[in-house]
Amino acid sequence: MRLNVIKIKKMELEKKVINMIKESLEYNDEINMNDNLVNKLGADSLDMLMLINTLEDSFSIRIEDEDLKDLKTVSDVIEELKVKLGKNKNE
Amino acid sequence: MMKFKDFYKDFEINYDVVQRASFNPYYPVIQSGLDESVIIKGDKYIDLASNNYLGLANDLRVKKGCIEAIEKYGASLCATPIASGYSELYCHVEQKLTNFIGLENGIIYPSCYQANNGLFPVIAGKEDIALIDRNAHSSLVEGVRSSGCKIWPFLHNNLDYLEKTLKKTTAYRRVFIVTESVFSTEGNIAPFKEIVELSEKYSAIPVVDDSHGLGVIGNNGGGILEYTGLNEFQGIYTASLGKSLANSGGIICGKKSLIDYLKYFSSHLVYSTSLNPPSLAGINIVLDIIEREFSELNKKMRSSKIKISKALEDSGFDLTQSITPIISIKSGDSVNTLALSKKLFTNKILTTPFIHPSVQYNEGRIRIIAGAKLSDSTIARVTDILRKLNI
Repeated sequence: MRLNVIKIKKMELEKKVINMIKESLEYNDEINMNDNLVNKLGADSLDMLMLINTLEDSFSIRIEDEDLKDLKTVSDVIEELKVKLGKNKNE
Repeated sequence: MMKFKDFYKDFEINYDVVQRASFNPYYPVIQSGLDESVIIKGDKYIDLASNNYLGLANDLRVKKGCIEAIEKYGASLCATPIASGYSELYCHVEQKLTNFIGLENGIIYPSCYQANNGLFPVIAGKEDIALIDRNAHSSLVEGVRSSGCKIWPFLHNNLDYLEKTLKKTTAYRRVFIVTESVFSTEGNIAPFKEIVELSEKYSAIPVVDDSHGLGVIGNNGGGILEYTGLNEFQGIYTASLGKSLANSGGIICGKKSLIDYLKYFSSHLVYSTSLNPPSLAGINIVLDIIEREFSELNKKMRSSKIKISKALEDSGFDLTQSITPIISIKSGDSVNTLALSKKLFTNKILTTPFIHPSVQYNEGRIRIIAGAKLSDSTIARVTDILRKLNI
């Protein structure tokens, strides 16, 4: 039962992030977890800034500039978010 | 630590895109002044590339004014404006331009890039936030970045997104909304009146770069403020003087207190050699011509734009929505963009291709500016060539 709840929460998070990416990048096609934000989805530095601002605001987290270079795929963004949200929870 | 001999290896350009398109359109060496055509490697190319909207860059009256200024002041005053580079002519042109734009005060910079880069470090800092249209010109983005303030790009011309973001800015000291008036690669116009209304609602300061609007839009060529009927604009206005005004330099206009402050604290102005006398005199004459002849020049510009756009659409080109003299062809990725530019160049038409990072990935543009200088016979030649192009 608890595993299912975790799975649903994970899916909700992924869906929410993908919607944010779609809005920030004005990307209307399907987005997959392994899609590269720059090469596949066409994000440039301003798109990334818009996305990071949206994520920071929506989840009340802070993503440092030095972490940006590690956010290459949709999955990277979600993993980073999970780490940040986990930290917030522990604090 | 890097060895000195390796330092320059970091600056080697990847010419892959240029090689794949077999064409490098950048830095063409121009061997003439701007007429209907320009000369490159001894051949004439129809000029659809320059920002010479009103066709005044090579106008005899303008050239005469420039020569007279050289005779009076020489080629340069060899000083910054704050030192001994602020001539009577400089002062006069500043005032005349400011009156034409319709604002309280203004200051001329050596370029609009310097104006935009010089402005933000003075007016914004770490406690502030700038909401900037994601398609705004690089000089605005770089200017905002250099100020150290928080940057939140907003979706292009999207007022809902802008307002949604404005609601989140209450913790900041100053909030700026930054946009171009006419977007240089697309030719579309910002909903500036609505942006100003949102600025008032959320106590934000609007900053507009009117480089492609001044001398182009508005019934008298007055730019975005005239076009939108904003008679009491309280924000900050910048513009290039090297486009429709056919010279060089940039201007910042706004409230007198701010302009006075910039005169002493904007490094890009204070430490740059003044705009030279011929450019100032050229602007002076162009403003007189605009006052007398804008209506006629504007008609020619609009007519050229309609004919060229129609020929491109008939040939199956996909164009951006533009109600300004800018025609922008959606040309896909960088290689396709350069290849199309090459095709036009081969047909003796000079255009401006934009590829990443000037535009977003795979959203290359070929910009065509249909200036007032183009004669009916040249327009007919251009449209004939465009209709025969295979895409």
